[in-house]
Amino acid sequence: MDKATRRLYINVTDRCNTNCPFCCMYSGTDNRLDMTFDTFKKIVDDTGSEIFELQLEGGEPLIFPKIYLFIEYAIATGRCAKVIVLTNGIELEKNLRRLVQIHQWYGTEFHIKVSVNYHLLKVHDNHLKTLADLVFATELLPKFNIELNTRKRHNDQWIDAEIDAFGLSEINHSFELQSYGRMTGSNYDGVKIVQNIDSWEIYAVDGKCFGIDLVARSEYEKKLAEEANNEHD
Amino acid sequence: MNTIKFAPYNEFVTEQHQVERGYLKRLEMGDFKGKVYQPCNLDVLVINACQNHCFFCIKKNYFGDVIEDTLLKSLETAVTRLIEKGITLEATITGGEPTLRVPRLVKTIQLLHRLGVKERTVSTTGVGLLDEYEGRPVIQHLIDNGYTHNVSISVMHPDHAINNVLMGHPQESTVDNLTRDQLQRIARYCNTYGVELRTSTNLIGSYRGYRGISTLGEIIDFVSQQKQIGIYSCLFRELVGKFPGNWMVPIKPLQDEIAKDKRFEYVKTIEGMFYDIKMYIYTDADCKQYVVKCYQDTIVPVTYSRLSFVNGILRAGFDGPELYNYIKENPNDLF
Repeated sequence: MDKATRRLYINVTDRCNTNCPFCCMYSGTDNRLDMTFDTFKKIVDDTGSEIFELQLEGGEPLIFPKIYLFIEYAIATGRCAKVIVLTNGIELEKNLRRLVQIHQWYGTEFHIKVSVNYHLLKVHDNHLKTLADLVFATELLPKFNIELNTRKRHNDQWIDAEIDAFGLSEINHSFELQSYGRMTGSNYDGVKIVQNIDSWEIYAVDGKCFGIDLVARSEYEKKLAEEANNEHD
Repeated sequence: MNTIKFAPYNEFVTEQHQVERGYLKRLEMGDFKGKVYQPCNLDVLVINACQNHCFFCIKKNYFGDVIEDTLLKSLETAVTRLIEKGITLEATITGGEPTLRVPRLVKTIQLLHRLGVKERTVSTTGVGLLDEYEGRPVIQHLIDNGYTHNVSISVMHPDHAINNVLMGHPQESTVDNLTRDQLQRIARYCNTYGVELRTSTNLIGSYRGYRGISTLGEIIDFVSQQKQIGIYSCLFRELVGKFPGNWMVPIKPLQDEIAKDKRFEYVKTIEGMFYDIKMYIYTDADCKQYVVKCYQDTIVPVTYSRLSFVNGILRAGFDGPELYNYIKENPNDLF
């Protein structure tokens, strides 16, 4: 397959299994919105004949029951060059076998981007030990990569040291928190975009496209979540 | 062997080695004339050395090892002859501790894979499974050569220190048994690729001041602890051999206890040639379901359910009659 020139960043659920106080998507354990398959299918179908990469994010995509339906549909188009799953890693061990099976069956490249931050390390026991074991289990698969995205507060250098202690530094990308989402108005920098693909766009959980405007999508997700909670109440 | 086995609910079949479907086949080889069970398990002892000195080891009378080339040539000859005689083989790789000599282990499984022998089990203490050989961990070599059906790791007790005592591990040994963290890493590796990893535990009463797993409550606790690190198959075995009474734990009373315990739902009994199996469903506190199989040996006339291969000698059973001795036929290959 030729190299993709376009990446779709799709928020498939705003539900999460943890409540990070700095979440840029306002996700959490009380949220309740999932993307429908028809919405997902339309986003994928609208790419026409283009080769694309798919980034599934949330919320926590690995607690979303239709995640594998979405992945298999995208791969079945024959135009999906890469599947990227942005996860907090808590459910990764339970899902790894299935992700690896899909990767081996179709040959599609997979990147698993695992979030690391002080909150996850506090509430989830042995997070880095688990990740180190899962990285060890998959490191011989040339096109199945697990990498870490670490978000730090100003004084969180200790996280880098812990990551190093588990031998995970080489696959870690370390950043400071950003001043949007729940951190809007904080003394952290605003959104910085680091991108390695020509064309990309982001989608909210209801399928609305926001181009490359991360902040606008974030605030829209907040509004959707509040509306959903009000309806529920 | 008399055993109790906990396995994941989706593995309801009676192993790869299905007692209800086997049959006997006449085998004549050398001076041996007898019957063997089909498919026949071939225990291949890769190496006799071990970091432990378990009092219950059924292979403790073997000493020394033939050199690697001789091992591989003799194994190839023996297996080829058996296949020519129409014997269907499944291999159990064992020792000693097979992962103490990784090149021998990897070359042996590659050879058996090439000869078309069905892979069954690697029986190990697991100590070398995470070691790297030719750019990949040993466990990956097992997967590459088809040993996905199960890897059986001997663990006598969840406490590392007590486990070492029960397995006769000398304190001065440079090779320690697995820690719980290491076992968990192996489990995660196996689970990623669909390899059934199981623990194999001998029921031990009292030994050198320590108690092994000996009650149904301890069995259930052990299964629960293994689940926490991603191991869902646990086998518990009655000791084979004659030992002081307080070392032994007869398994029949435990099986009878299972039969009366309401947590175990009886499913069926399978009558096999060498053993009968009573099957139950057990649901634990987290609603995880297991199939529990209670194996009891049956008395059979002299037939062999397994062959063994040690140091160039093929035998019926572990200590049974010699079928073939490569060294006698090829004395110049030894040195």
